[in-house]
Amino acid sequence: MKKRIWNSFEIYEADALAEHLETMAERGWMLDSIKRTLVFKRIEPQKIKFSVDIMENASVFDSFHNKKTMEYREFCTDTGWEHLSTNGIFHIFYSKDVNVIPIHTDQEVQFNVISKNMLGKTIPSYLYPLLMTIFFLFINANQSITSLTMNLTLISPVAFLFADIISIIMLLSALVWYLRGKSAIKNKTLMPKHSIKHIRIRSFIIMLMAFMILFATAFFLLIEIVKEPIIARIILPLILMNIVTFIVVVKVLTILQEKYNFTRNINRSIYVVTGIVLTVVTMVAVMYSVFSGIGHNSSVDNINTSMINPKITSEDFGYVNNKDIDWDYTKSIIASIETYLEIPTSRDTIFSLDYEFFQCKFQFGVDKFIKEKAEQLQQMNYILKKEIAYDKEEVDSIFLYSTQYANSNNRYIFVKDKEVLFLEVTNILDKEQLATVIANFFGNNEI
Amino acid sequence: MYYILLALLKPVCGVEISQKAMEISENRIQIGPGTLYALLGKFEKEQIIREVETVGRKRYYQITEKGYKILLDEYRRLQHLVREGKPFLDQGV
Repeated sequence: MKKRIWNSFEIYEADALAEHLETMAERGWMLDSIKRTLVFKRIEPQKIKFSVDIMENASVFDSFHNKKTMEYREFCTDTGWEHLSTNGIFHIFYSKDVNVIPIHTDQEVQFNVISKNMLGKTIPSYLYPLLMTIFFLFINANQSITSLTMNLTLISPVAFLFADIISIIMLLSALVWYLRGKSAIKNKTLMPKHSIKHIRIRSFIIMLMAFMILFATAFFLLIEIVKEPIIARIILPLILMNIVTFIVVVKVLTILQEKYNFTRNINRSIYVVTGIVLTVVTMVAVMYSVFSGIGHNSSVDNINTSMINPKITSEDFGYVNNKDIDWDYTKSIIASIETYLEIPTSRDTIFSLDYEFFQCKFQFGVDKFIKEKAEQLQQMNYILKKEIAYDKEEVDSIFLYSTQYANSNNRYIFVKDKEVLFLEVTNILDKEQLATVIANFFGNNEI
Repeated sequence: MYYILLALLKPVCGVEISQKAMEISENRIQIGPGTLYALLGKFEKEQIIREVETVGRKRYYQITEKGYKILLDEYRRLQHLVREGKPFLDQGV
């Protein structure tokens, strides 16, 4: 009979792990192996002394039978300790003689070994999510506000935020240990012990946050699969492929580490190469699917007309045209955008229109959308070296801005509370037509 | 450090060093294998000790000239402490 629990002990919590293993042995559970989980097997309850050791310059990429590790193990077994298991960082020793000389009798030496490992490996791993957040903010600095209309896009900042909170908790925890350790050595007092209870609470908070993000991602992914086939056909299999490949590589590498004596660099290279290959394959697959239009819902050439539901078309203005249409509607929990474009297929077409209708629960979203569109249109107009000037009207709570630009296209911008409509038509709209627009998008207000 | 260097006046390997240190100190000083392993690595790096022989995975170390000088300086320092304190301690309270 075996029991498995997640290994949530950090490198500087080796003493707490040793204490936990001793408590488990007294309850009849003996550690069988340590990797990402602690695996216990049933034994007669007994007192066993455990020591959780960290070698200088430890690494998860070290082979379990490398020369230095074997030498150190023999050093310890010669003094009455038995080596039980290792995950490359923690080396678990035990002795049934509770009076055995501890493996470490000088806390300053042990503190220095752990500190060096922490600075070299553990701290950078805590900083990684924070750096990724900065990178994420940098590459998304100029992203359009319309990205708010996709639920999956909303998950990313939340996931980064949670990861950053976790990183900060871990960094503070490490810093507290380091400062208390330094103080104990300076004052020649005993190093303060870690509390198993605190470690469990911290681990629970982290697991909870990770679960919330995974659950939200899975939930919104399922919603998006229905709306966007690209998710089901391309992205979902890619995600599954990455997860399965990662699990298989870790499993294979663990077996290789136990069986063969590859150097640290070879083991590390296997991980790095696998990571690069997976990243490249994923990027190529996503780019191919985007540029080739595989699974895209609203292709101009291949439309299921029953799904198209624009709020206004040229027919509403009394014009029946030969045209192709491009219609798209995306909605998230906080925003939505509907885009519609009529492409005349005949030279006799005298009226066509296109629009973007954006709704957002937050005013800042609407304001940013208006600003983005205005800048975009101004840049397009820059070629003709003309400033766009808008006429302004207001009725009830709808602001109407209108102008002519470029090829005498007529632009109308309707703004009401947290909704904005950018409408472009080839003809100037009369009062009745403007009222039709307002009625179709905003209800029954008249202009 | 003092007892480890004393133990290394003649070539010895790993566990024998801590046993010798215990003998010299009359069981007062206990050096754990982890502490000893880390210190041997540090001393070898600082050229206070050197590896003289390897038998299987057992490495035999001995003190170097630099290490002997450090040991001697420490021994003289301890002698000074005893000599300077003796007259006062002999007077009693």
